[in-house]
Amino acid sequence: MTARPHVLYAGLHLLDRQLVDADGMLAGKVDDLELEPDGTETDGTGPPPPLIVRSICFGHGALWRRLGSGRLGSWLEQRHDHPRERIAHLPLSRVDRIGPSIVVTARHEDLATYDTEQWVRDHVTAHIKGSTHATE
Amino acid sequence: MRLSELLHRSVVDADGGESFGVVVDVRLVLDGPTDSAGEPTYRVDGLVVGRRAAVARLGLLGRDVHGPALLVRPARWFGGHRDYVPWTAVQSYDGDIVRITGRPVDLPVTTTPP
Amino acid sequence: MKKFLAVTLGILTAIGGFVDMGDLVANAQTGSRFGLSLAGVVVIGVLGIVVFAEMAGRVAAVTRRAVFDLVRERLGPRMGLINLIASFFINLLTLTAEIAGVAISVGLLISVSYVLLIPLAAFLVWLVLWRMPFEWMERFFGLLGLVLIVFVVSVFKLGPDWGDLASQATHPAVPEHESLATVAFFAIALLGAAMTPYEVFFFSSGAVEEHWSTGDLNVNRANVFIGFTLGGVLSIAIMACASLVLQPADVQVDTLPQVALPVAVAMGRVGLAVVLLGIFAATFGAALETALSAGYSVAQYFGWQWGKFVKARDAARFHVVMLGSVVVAALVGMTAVDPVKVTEYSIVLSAAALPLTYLPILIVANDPEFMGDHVNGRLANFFGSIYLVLLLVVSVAAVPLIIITKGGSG
Repeated sequence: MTARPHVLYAGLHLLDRQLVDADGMLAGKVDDLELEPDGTETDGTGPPPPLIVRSICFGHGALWRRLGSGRLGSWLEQRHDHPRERIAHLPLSRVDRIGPSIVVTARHEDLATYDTEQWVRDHVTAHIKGSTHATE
Repeated sequence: MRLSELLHRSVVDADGGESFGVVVDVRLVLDGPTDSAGEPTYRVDGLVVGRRAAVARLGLLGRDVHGPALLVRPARWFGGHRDYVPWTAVQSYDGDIVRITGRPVDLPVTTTPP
Repeated sequence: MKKFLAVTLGILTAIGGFVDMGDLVANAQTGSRFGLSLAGVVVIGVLGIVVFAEMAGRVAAVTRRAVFDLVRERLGPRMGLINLIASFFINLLTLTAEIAGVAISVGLLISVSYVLLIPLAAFLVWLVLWRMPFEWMERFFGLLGLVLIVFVVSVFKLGPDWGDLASQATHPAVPEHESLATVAFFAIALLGAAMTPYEVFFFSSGAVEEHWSTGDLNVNRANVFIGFTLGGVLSIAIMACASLVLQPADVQVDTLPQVALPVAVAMGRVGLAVVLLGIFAATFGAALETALSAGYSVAQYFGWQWGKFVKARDAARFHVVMLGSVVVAALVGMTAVDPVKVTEYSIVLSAAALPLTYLPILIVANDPEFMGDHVNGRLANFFGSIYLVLLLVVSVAAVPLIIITKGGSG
């Protein structure tokens, strides 16, 4: 498995794959990809400019948008930009390895999918004794 | 735009309006312009066109896939032929329709997955 | 030693997963109405779960990913979400039945009404989930559940006509007063009880929890062949006990105590105490597995951190899903809803949902991209394909049969 293959299929190899951070912690799924045209917008005639993959999108907003609920999804996505400023789009340069899971160079606490995890942790499990132990 | 918005769009002939199916996947090649970090980006090389998206998602694309005939044959029958539209053949993709010139071609042979 | 301990995972899954409320109820009801005629269905169910659990375990060991993780990827997020919602709902039903089973078995031992014991049962289940290490959990409930062998002992003690039993099993016959639809209903119930999805979710996620790798593949197979076969033997023993004691007396199994009755007849009060202990262990183990499956499936769909192998604070949502499930199951149970009816619905609906779970496993197990050299061999594919067809037929027939037979009482 090469780190970043030369050719791949977005739907087959990227979408819905597990994101894993540098420490091996799970960090959500690839919910969508952000594509953007490269180069200046033409005047509308002629073939469209090439389309580049700008980033991986994840988080609840991205998932709802993918499931078809555009407005709820976009609204949820905007909320990610508030205080915690977690990343909801990761450029592919931060991707270390593409395989059964997508390993990225960010930390899972910095990614948008951590929002609800933090909330639950602070408001629920922190109040229950014993949450700092791993029961392995 | 989101990839999910591109998927499932109808693919039609720009002139005659003949429908070829829907976008079921997108082929990416790592030869796009370098980004701000100096890394090459993935460029959309073309669109994979098929009849039924759901079956294509099962991963029965391409030649590398093995499986019991019971799965593979109906999947091929359901999903029909998977064809390919190189990006150069795309004329426009706004709205819900992708307009192309010419007809879809066969999938490129180098489908070796990671 | 490690290998021996690894085999206990399979045994727990077999006892806890196999002999849970679903098996207790389905096998006893079937035994009391049809004798051993449907024993063959249990064999088919055991073979089915052996085939798919081996595949799921292999996939988990090779890819380090569990079943529900792959469901979203192969079916897409929309179908994956429908699958998740359906599985979660059925899981909740099952969990309700299991917690009720725990409460009932304890209630019978100490002569207290089971409804009062449900909150305690639920609390204990949650406490074990929160604090007890995964391997300890397996070991304890696996070993304790083995006392259900008392059903096998009881069959011998009841001094049956072995020839008659054998001929019933090998020559299935529909009693005159029963309709074909009812037989089909119970056959599907038996299949659903044997092949429940939560077993596979638990087994494959457990394999990841225990950090299985390709070196553990033979252990995987041992777990599955020994563990699930043991579960199947116990199931048939439960059926045989019911057919020997309840069928001649024309007793319909409507409550859990009736399932235990044949053991009491065969072995007296000691036997009864032992079987209640076994039922406690089996239903408690099953409650743990079902709650864990609820957590696994939700977390794996969304890609959240899951597992008991990480600190609880690092998998907060996973634990909260389980806590929530246990609470809901307890609340439903405390409405004194009939636990046997809940059990019946959970297993028949499980049967209907099986193709959704097993199809992705079959596909991924064949994918050389994920599995490398460990893709399915021809034997696995042969059985996998046959079962998929069978499960599709069962899935289509399940809900209409519930309606036609009025939930098995018609």
